[in-house]
This record gives sequence, structure tokens and C-alpha cells, in this order.
Amino acid sequence: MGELKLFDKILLPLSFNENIEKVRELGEYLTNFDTRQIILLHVGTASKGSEQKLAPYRDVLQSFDFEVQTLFEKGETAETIDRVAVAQKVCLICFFWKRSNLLKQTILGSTIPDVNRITGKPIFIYRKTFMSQQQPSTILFATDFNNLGATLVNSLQRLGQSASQTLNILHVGLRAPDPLAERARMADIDQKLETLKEIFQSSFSGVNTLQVTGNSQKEIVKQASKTGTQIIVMGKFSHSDLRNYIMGSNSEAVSQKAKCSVFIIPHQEEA
Amino acid sequence: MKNHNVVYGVSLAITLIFVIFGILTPEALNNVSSLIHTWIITNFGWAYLLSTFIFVIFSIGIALSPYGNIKLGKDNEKPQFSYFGWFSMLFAAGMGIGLIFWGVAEPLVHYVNPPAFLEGQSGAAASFAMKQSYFHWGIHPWAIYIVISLAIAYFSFRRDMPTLISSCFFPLLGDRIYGFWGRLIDILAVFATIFGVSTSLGLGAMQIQSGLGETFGFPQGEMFTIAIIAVITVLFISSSITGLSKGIQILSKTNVVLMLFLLLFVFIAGPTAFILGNFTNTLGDYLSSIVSLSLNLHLFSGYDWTRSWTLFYWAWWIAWSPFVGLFIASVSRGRTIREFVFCVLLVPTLLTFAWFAVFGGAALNLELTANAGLAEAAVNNVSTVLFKLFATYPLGSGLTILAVALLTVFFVTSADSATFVLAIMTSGGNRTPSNRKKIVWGILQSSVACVLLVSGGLVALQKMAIAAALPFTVVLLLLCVSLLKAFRYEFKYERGEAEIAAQSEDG
Repeated sequence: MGELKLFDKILLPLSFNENIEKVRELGEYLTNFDTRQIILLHVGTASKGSEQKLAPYRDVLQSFDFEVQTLFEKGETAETIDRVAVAQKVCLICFFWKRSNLLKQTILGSTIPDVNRITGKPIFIYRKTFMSQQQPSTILFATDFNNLGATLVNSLQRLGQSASQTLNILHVGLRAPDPLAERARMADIDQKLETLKEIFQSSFSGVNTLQVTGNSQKEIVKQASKTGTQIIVMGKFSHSDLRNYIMGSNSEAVSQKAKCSVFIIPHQEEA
Repeated sequence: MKNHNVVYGVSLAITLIFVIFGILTPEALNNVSSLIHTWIITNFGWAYLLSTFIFVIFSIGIALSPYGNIKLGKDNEKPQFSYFGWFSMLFAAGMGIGLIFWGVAEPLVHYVNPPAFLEGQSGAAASFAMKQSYFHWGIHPWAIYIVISLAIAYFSFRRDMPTLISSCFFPLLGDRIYGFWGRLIDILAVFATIFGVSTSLGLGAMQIQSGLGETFGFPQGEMFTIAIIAVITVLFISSSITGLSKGIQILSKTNVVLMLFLLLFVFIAGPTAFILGNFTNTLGDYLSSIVSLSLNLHLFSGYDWTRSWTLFYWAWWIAWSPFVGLFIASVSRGRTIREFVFCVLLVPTLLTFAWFAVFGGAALNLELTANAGLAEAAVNNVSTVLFKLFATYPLGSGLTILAVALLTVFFVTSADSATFVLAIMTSGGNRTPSNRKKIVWGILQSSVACVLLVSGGLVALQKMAIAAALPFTVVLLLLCVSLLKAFRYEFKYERGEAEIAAQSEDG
């Protein structure tokens, strides 16, 4: 397998509502990684006005020596973003985190969850934290051990090599029905976490493991906050169970609730 | 201090505090309990109705789902009791005594005093009375019992945990079941059981006395009631000491045989065609309107009636559920969940429906055709109406003696199983509790009943037991969640592993 270019070519959809300073922060943040090219996409009609609106974003990102390309595409927003991402062979789609308005989201839908649901590309949801200007030093990797594809493992290793210092590997499990089974389950999880720790030890300066029981979404957000995490990394399956159809997937919920950036890596990337 | 000693000590202390309260100031206890009881029924009546409906859906859903294949025990275990022994014990603990009285009285009382939207003593009132009796004694109470007994049986026999209600919360609370929350749940269960059974024992003894007095001219008075309680106490403690497989099972089987005999006799000697028609008609009514029955508070007309009857019943079944649930679990080891749910839900219900169709139908028929004054008797004194019905039949005295024997044995089996359950709950879930504990709880239950009988605090305590049903409704709802989590875990992790292990062995 060739070297994984995790942040090499990024698709950055823009609605023009984004604050230019936010884009500058993102550009600075991306200098921690190996980003080479950024495609700025606006889903809408290309016009002189819209080109003018896009220009400041392009200029800001170019100031960090990124190769910036601009694109205008018409169509349904989420579907268009995914289509362009595939056509342009980007490594990941990057979004700015936005406070979600539940009512608006329920009625009008929301781009990030929609793209997350349909795309096979990794998604990076950037959220500014007080440490954004510095190197991301703590990563929380939430795993149920089913989403451990080579892409995910390589992505994490790459993240560790490029910038981060500490990796916290978290497993949120379902408590076994009795104390004996629970002890066996915990021992088994410990063993699996140790195996993962060994895999990532060489890429990070420190690797910690943590297992808790409870609601996955809440626990991931809670543990991220507790450990001062800058990026939560999660895997995502392409299939959904009934619960996901009704409640949404863990990655969707975490990306909305987390107070830090979230990196979602689809399992189907293996293919 | 060991967990079960805490539960034992605190439960004893709470019981004694309430008893002393009941002796010293029965009126104050009555006022406090009436206030709490009225407040709960007024504000949370809807919650009882909705929760009970959820329990029905949950029970049927679990039985029909793949989880229905899970065995309440190890995979190779066989049921401990025969079907007849099992059904008899289910029935004796769950319904028994109440059904004997209310089987005749309830349809008549509803016939005379239906909700505001119906005219009393009309054809519509008769039809409503039968349907509502089926509803109050049908699948809903059993669904309440199923939730708790299924949880206890699963966690005790399949997961090898102590036979305690707190054990069922491990998937939700983890090791906290050994701390405050676990103890609170177990204490609440003991509290509900002892008060429920003591008040039933006291009120039931009064009913037996009143029935015997009415029919045979037996003397009335507290001393005679206390003598009845004393006799029953000796009988149930003796039965309890002999254990499940002997005492309770034999008495329960005897009871069901006696019940079936009475049922068949009244069916054959009574208006057979009317009874069959009544059974078919009410079953149709019940089945076709089960959802609206389940969720209808009669909020705009007849809400007072719903509060006095349906909500009272629902709260009472829930208050009894820790005791009945633990007992049902104890006798259901080795059954699959599907078998357990459908048998517990349907078999006792069918017998109950038959009982109402025969006794309620016979009484209604007499009332409609001969104006026998049974309805008036039912309204004035519930405990005499069965004996008044028997008086209209050939061999009426013999039937009355049989019914009194049936009542006594049902009393013994209820108190016997309650003693057994209390001893388990206060022995850290030990399924073979010491005789000493059984005797302590047996005597305590009867003493509580006697003392409150004399002081007049029995009804107040009954209301208190019903008030305890509200927190227990929350406990039951959480039990559903806990069970689902446990089943999900078993299917997701353990079943897969077991199948892989089996395949590799085959390979």
C-alpha cells in the first residue's frame, strides 16, 4: 500500500456565510498536516458575483501556500458535494462546524449529516477550540473494534506522525447482563485495546486506553471533553441498522455535539 | 454490613414504624395515605394506564421476537414443574382469592353502578360490566407480572445472579446494584409485599368472616377475625416450611381442582346456554376493543369511575407485582421466554374469563330473569354475594363449604408464597431461605394484619401500598429497558460466540 495522503487534497464546500477569519484559522490549522491542494466548492450558479465572493477565501488559503482551485456546481447540496469529491478524487471533505438548529435541521435538513450519510469519503469537521492555533496534541479514537479497516488505521498513524502527540483509544461498550460476564467482557476489551495500543505506539508519543459503558454518543463527547481532545476520530459503516435510521448514526450525533473537531472515516473506503 | 442484612433490617424497621403509626394514630395514617393515594391517582392515573399497555406490548413483542427463544435457565435445563403444577401455582399466587369474590360481584357492581355515560341496570351496562371485568382481570395484570418475573427469572436462572429485583438492574446500574440504589429497590419491593399481603390478609379474613356469618350465622367481631388469621397463619407457615415442590404446589393444585369443580357445577347446573353466549359475546367485545379499553380513561365522562376501578386495579396489581413476580419467576425455571410469556399471559386469563363468564353470567342471568337481589347484595357487601348465588343452586350449602375451603386454601397459598418471597428478598436472593426467616415474616405479616385490624388502619395501609405502586411503575419500565439491553447483549455477543464455538467443535 502506498503512502496515505490523508490531508493532501481537500474539498472545502462554502456557502459564503463562512467568516473569513474562520477560514484563515483553518488554513493555519491545516499547516500542521501535509495539505497540498484545496478545492473550494460552492453549490450554486457560477456568476461574477459569486466568483467575487469566493475570491477572498481563495486568497486567504493561498497565503499558506496551498494550491487552491475553485468550483461552482449546481444541484442538491449534499449529493453535489459527494459527486465532486469522487470526481476530483479528494482525500477528504472538510466542513466548518456550525451550531445546529434542531427545528431548522428537522425541517430543512442539514448539509453535514446529509453528506456524512451518503459519502464514502472521509469527513473532517473543523471546530475551533482554544488550542486550534497550536498543534493538535490530543486525539480521541472511538472504536467498537468493528470499524478497524486499513484506511482508518493508516489515517490515525498518519495523524500521529504529522502532528499529534497523544492518542486516547476509547471503547464505549454495552454492559454485560451479569457481573461475571461483565468482568470477562472488560478483560476482552482490555486485550483488544492493548493490541490497538501496540499498533499505534510508534506513531504517537503517548497512547492511552479507556473503556466505559453507556450511551456511545454521550460518552464519546464526555470523554473527549474530559481528556482535552482536539480531534475525535471515528469510523463509520456504510450500512445502518434500524436505530440509525431513527436516531441517526453515532458519527452524526458526535459531530454535532462534540466541542472539538471530528474526523469520520468510512469503513467502505477499504473497497 | 451485608447487603441483605441492610434490606432485612430497614424493611423491618419501616414496617414497624408504619404499624406503630397505624396503631397510635389510625386516623392520621388514613388521612396521610388518602391524601397521597388521591394525589397519585388523580395526577398519574394516565401513567398507570399507559405503562400497563406498554407492558402488554413489551411482553408480546419479546415473545414474538427472536429473544423469545432464550431459556429462563441454562440452555439444557428442563422445566422444574409440570404444566398443571405450574399453572396452578401461577394462578394461586397471582389472582386466586380476589377472583373468588369479584368473579360474581364485579359484573354485578358495574351493572348497577356503571360510569356516568351509561344507564345503570341496562343491557348496555350488563355488556359493559362483563367486558370491563374481563379487562380488569385479563391479560393486563399478567403482563405486569410478566415484566418483573421475566426479569427475575432471566437474571437469576440464566445469569446466575441472586434472586432479587435489584439484580435485574445490572445492565443499567452495574455494580451500583450493590449500593444505595439496589438496596432501595429491594426495600421498596419488601415494603410493597408485606403491606400488600398484610392488608389482603386482614381484609380477606374480614370477608371470609362476613361470608360465613351471612351464610351460617357465625359470630361477628374482631376476635373471630383474628382467630381466622391465626388459623391461616399456622397453615401457611407450615406449608411454607415444607417448600415449593411440596406445600405450595400441592395446595395450588388442590385449589385449581376445587375451582374447576365449582366452575363446572355452576356451568352445568346454571344457565349453560346463557353462560356460553356470555363468554362468546364478552370475548368478542374484549378482543375487538382491547386497545381502546387499554388507553381509555373516560376522561370527559366517567373519569371518577375509572379512578375507582381501573386505576385502583392497575395500581394494586403493580403493588403486588414484586411478590407475585418473584414467585412466578421461582416456579418458571427452564421455560423459554416465548413459552413463559404466552402461557402466563393466556392460560390464567382464559381460566379467569371462564370464571367470570360462569359466575358473573349466572349472577347476571338471575338478576335479569328473576330479580334475585344479587346486584344489591354485591353493592352492599361484596363478600356475601357468592354465597347468595350458591343459595339459589341445588346443594347450595355444600357449594358454600367448598367455596370457603377454596378461599382458605387460596389465602394460605398467597400468604405462603409471600412468606417464601419475603424470605428470599431478605436473604440476599438465596432461593432456599432459612425456615427462621420464613417464620419471622409469616408471623410479622399476620401480626401487622391483626394489629391494624384492631386499630382500624388496614384500609389506610392498603392505600399506602397502592401509593408505593407509582415508584414501582418506574421500576417496571426501567426493567423493560434493562431486559432489552441484556437480551441485546446476549444476542450480539454471546450467541455469536456460542455458534462459532459449536461450529468449530463440529469442524
